[in-house]
Amino acid sequence: MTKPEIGAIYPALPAIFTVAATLIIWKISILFFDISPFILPPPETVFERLWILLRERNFWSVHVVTTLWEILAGFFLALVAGLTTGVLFGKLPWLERALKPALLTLQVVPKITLLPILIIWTGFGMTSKIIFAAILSFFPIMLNVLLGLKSVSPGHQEVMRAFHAGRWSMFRFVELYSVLPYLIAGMEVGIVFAVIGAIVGEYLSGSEGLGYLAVIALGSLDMPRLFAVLIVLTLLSYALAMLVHCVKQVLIPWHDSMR
Amino acid sequence: MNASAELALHEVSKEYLSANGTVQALRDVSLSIVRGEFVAIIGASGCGKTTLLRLLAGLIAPTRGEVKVREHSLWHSGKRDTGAAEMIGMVFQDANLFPWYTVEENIYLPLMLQGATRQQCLEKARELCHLVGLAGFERSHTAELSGGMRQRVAIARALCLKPSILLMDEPFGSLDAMTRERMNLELQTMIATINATVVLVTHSITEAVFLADRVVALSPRPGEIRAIQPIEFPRERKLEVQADPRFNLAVQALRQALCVEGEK
Ligand SMILES: Nc1ncnc2c1ncn2[C@@H]1O[C@H](COP(=O)(O)OP(=O)(O)OP(=O)(O)O)[C@@H](O)[C@H]1O
Ligand SMILES: [Mg+2]
Repeated sequence: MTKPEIGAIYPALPAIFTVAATLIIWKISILFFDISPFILPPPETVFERLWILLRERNFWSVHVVTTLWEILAGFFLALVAGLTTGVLFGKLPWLERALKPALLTLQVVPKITLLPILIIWTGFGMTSKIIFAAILSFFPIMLNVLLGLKSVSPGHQEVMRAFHAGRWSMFRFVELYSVLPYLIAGMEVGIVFAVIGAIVGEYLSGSEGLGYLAVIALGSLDMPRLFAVLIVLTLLSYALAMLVHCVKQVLIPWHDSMR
Repeated sequence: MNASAELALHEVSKEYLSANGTVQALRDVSLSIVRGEFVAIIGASGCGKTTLLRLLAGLIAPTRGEVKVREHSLWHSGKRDTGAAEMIGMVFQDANLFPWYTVEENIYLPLMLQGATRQQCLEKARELCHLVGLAGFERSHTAELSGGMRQRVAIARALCLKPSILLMDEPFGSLDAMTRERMNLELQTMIATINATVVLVTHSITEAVFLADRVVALSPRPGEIRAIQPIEFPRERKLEVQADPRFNLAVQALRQALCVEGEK
């Protein structure tokens, strides 16, 4: 009998080990290299500030809710728009030819420069951030859907033709499923981009959200607090990525990547 | 030409257009297959066997000539006659199963496309699973199947609409010799049950001689008919038939027909 790997028995163990090792290296390097707490605050200070942050009155009800809403709304908009555009482009090549230059322009323009324009158009509220998050996560989703539609197996298409399937059946029973793995891949990138979009939007304007908290902490050179916000943001992104992963497990359990 | 032909090719040629010119895959192929007949097609890789089957299935149109199913031309000025194509079931060279569907969903998909109820679909799938020896695997996912089982699913799917003509493109090409022999025996029983006309493409001369009433040997590209060898043994055949001298004679004759062309 072969010895089972330790990770197989306690799946969380390797991850816990990595986190513990990081904390230890963090602490030790501060002690050894005599790093100023203004540059790299020690872990215990950061976690103390994190604890304070989590119990602040407005933290959950205003800042977390605002950021989360911006991310999810932006991502959802991108998902709907990316899926629709990708499918339309894939199915109507003349439409792709007509609109591709415009989209390409939007894709290559440094999108951060669009943010001030969005702010002027839609104000300092959440709208500008939602739209910005949506623009950022739109492209990976749309491009992946388009790629997926163009990668439908010719063998599968021929089977459907042998069964006299029409265009709609072809889409409903074959293309839709063939696109799903690509769509998920787009969503995995897209959700991270949506987080970036919302946070950068908050950096630039407004008075709510985790990005805003980070900017304020920076303004008062409060490094422990900046780190605390960073940890919250990381955990938030992580949770969102897990959400996409759950969607993946529901939608494409049959895909090779899930084995 | 035989008036009661189930399938007929009249001087059919096929050229593919590709980036660097045209590829002639088939040249002047004429063949007529009667009802209930089992015809095997052999030939070197790339000689146009798949092309021939796709022409018979109405998946592609001939460049010249005419393809007829029960005296109905498959193509009318560039449009496929779906009525005639309806009688045809096809097993593709790669099983081409849909990984997002279970075995039974793969099998009843053609029926579902015709608007059958879920109940009808499930019954049909169960019946076909039984026929092709997949009973108990209805709910399995295709990735969990062995190569032989995948081909069984592909065969069951091709039989779903009760075709009177079954076209098979190297259905057992990727299987080991032993599985292949068993599948050949089972295929004979299946064919007897559904009573279909069969055209089977294979690269194994013995498989062709073992299964078919007539074996058609194609020349290398562009494919032309080199020889047509009738096989006299009555169906269904047992494996012992392979020891019969007449069996070996037929194999030899076909091997020669294929080789002569190769030496040219
Ligand atoms: N869609 C296509 N476009 C261009 N050329 C093609 C196309 N399909 C087949 N051909 C060419 O036509 C010739 C015959 O192809 P076909 O697939 O019919 O061969 P085959 O006899 O089935 O070969 P194999 O035994 O390897 O399956 C080949 O040379 C191939 O390159
Ligand atoms: Mg082939």
